[in-house]
Amino acid sequence: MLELCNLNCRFGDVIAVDGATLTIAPGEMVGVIGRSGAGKSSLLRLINRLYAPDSGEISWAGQSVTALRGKALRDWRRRATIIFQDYNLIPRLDVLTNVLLGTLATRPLLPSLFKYFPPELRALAILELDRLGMADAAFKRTQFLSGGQQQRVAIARAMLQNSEILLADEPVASLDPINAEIVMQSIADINRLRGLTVIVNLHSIDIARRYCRRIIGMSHGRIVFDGPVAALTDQAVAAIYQGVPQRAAPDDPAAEMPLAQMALAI
Amino acid sequence: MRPQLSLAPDDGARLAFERDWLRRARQSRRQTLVWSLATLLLLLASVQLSEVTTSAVGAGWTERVADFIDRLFPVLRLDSLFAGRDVTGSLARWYYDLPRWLAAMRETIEMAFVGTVVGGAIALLLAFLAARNLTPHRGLRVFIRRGFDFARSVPDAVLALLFAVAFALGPVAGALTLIVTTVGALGKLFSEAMENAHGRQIEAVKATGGSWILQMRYGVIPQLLPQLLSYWLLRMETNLAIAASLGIIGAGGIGIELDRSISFIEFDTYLAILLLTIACIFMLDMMSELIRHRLTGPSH
Amino acid sequence: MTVALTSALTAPLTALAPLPGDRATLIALAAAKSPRAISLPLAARLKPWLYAGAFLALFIACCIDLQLGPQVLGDGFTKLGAITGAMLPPSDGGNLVHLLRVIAQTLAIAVLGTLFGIIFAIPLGLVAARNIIGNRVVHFAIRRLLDIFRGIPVLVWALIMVAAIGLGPIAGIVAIAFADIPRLAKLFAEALENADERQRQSVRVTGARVSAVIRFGFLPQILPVVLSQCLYFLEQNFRSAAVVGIVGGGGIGYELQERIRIFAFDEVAFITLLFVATVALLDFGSGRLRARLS
Repeated sequence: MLELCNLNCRFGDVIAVDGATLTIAPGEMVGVIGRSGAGKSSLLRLINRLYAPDSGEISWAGQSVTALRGKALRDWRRRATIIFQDYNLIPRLDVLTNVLLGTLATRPLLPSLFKYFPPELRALAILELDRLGMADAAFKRTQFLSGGQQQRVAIARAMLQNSEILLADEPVASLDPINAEIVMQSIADINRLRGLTVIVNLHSIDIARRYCRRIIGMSHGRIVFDGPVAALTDQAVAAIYQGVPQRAAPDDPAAEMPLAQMALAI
Repeated sequence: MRPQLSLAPDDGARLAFERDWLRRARQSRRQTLVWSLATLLLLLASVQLSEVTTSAVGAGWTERVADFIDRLFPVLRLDSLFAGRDVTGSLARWYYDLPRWLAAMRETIEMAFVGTVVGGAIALLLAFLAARNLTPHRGLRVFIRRGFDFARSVPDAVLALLFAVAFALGPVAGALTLIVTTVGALGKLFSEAMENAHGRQIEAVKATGGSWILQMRYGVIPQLLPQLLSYWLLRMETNLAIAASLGIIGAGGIGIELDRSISFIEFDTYLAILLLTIACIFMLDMMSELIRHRLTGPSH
Repeated sequence: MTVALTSALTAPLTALAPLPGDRATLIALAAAKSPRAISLPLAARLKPWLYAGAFLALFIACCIDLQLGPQVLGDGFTKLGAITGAMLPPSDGGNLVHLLRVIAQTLAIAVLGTLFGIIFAIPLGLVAARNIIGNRVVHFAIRRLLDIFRGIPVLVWALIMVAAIGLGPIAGIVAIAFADIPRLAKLFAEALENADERQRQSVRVTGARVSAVIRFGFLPQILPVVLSQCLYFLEQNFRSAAVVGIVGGGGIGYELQERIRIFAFDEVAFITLLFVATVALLDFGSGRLRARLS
């Protein structure tokens, strides 16, 4: 059970996440929607502890992860793996090494520094790549791959982390429709067949409706919607995307209208 | 026929514009004048301070320079150019001590190599701590930055003199001097390069649970490697020139031979060694340039 | 389109069966997919180690030849520790006014050296610029010549200038100028080559005279760049001016060398600190000016 309790995070004057409270059962697949800048990315980075919360609690399986430091923190990052919109691979390294970077948290330092990984891990990496149809590219430099291929490498890397939670930050926003389907299907399979808890930020409400059973809507750092996909009516979407700001002064409403309409049109 | 300017309906606006334009032009001219005067003053003060006018060079220096130039060029005769060492006018006589000079040149190259390798390695390690976006500790960062600045400010020859007192005259003092100056120069360049590194790749390693050292190893080094290597090779070229000159104050290598030829007033020998040095430096620079172009080429 | 879509969707995604638990089967399975990932050919595996080994061997050979061993280093650093101890506290030796004057003289040497360097580098830079002298052979020859002379460090120039002209600041000034000329000329040539041709043309089409074309179409482009480079060279030359003094080119270097010779390390430390502070001040001022120029 992943529990967030009154989670706050701000950068200077910008409120990234504002009082987020949330409970997610193990094995759920949750979609997070909202305008860009609504705090979706920050929420995932807070769970993975790439960002430190200013206040509030995060706990997993009854254990708090808010105050973890050092090795325990790194192990938490391994267990709550994250994949990014821009794939965040190392372009000048080959695909296999990129995938093997997922094992860094559990390996001794010295062999890792010299880029040595034991054969069973290399085998695991190849098999994970093979499941995503990428085994043939194992020795290509990542910079020469297409976006869809890069995101599949990133998923293989996440799988090597042997994690319990998969956080996906706009995994298909930079992809063409075909590759977007492949990547979303892989994530759904990981959720269904391996039982990983999945939280996925999505730009497209259509994709969110098709792949997720539960939807969370965010606006101005707050969670403004939380319910089954059936409850996500057009009115609810409009509310999420219009987002009545609670603390910050409202922006020019005329400038916000087209965005809201765009969200409805999707 | 002159245009009838006064007939324009927006005469007032035009006049205001004209006035403003004139004011700006005057201001700009005044600024130029002030800077020119300041520069002139600096130059006059420099002439006064450097004692150029009252210098001990004094009278008769034209003859001295003429005499010097006369002694600088070797006696070479076309008919005996490739004859043995005992024939006047042969190349072999001009380069009478070539094996020894080559050995000294080897020493210079070794000094430059050792200095650049060790200095570069130390600079790399310290640069991670000195880069604003990577450093694990702010205070440490400021301290290391000041260290880099200091190492670059102290003239290399002064360092070499000090090292020569501690380590005796010779190449060890030279190599150590090069290590210190290289740490200063490369440390600054490396840390600046790292501050421009893409954060995503570092974040990627951090997100998988990699420790700080591994974030540096996989998030920073792969993306910056061509740039860092290129800086390192450029520094190798610079260090070769410095190594050649440090010998003049006793820190080993070809410079010692240059200094010796001057103290024996063998100016033609000086020219011989200088040409040899230039040729060696030039050849090694060409090699390094080739490698650098391959590193930073479009194909990586 | 739809065919590509369905085949791309079905091929990889159905194969999500659980992985085998034991190590041998795992490796055998992966080896069947990608043999290279499991056992790299011996040659490929040895290659990085060979490179690293060769580099290390070269490095150690150099150290041995330079007699740079632990014994020498140990002794030397002990002595260096003693020297550092003798530096504390730094002392001006009662010559503060004199030292300040010599620092000013060092700066003066740097200023005049840079000035003469600039004066002689301008015509050379013009000749070396591709868009001024069209002849490729001449351009190539001059550039190579500049490259060759660029390699000569200032101390080498100083040594020969002291021999030619005699001890004193003039030798230092000339040495700095000579060291600067090829470097400045190359930079000037590059600034000229990078100047935007269109700006010059836009002035030329107004029917302006050649002098006006240069004044309004050319100078505004390259002057800030060139001035900024000259300031940078002045910063560097202040350090050089301290070095030329050691072989007799005037300035602070001579004072430093004298004091090192008589082991007056407290005064050496004082002068060094004074010098470093002046360098920092000069760099700061010059940096501000350069920021205004760009």
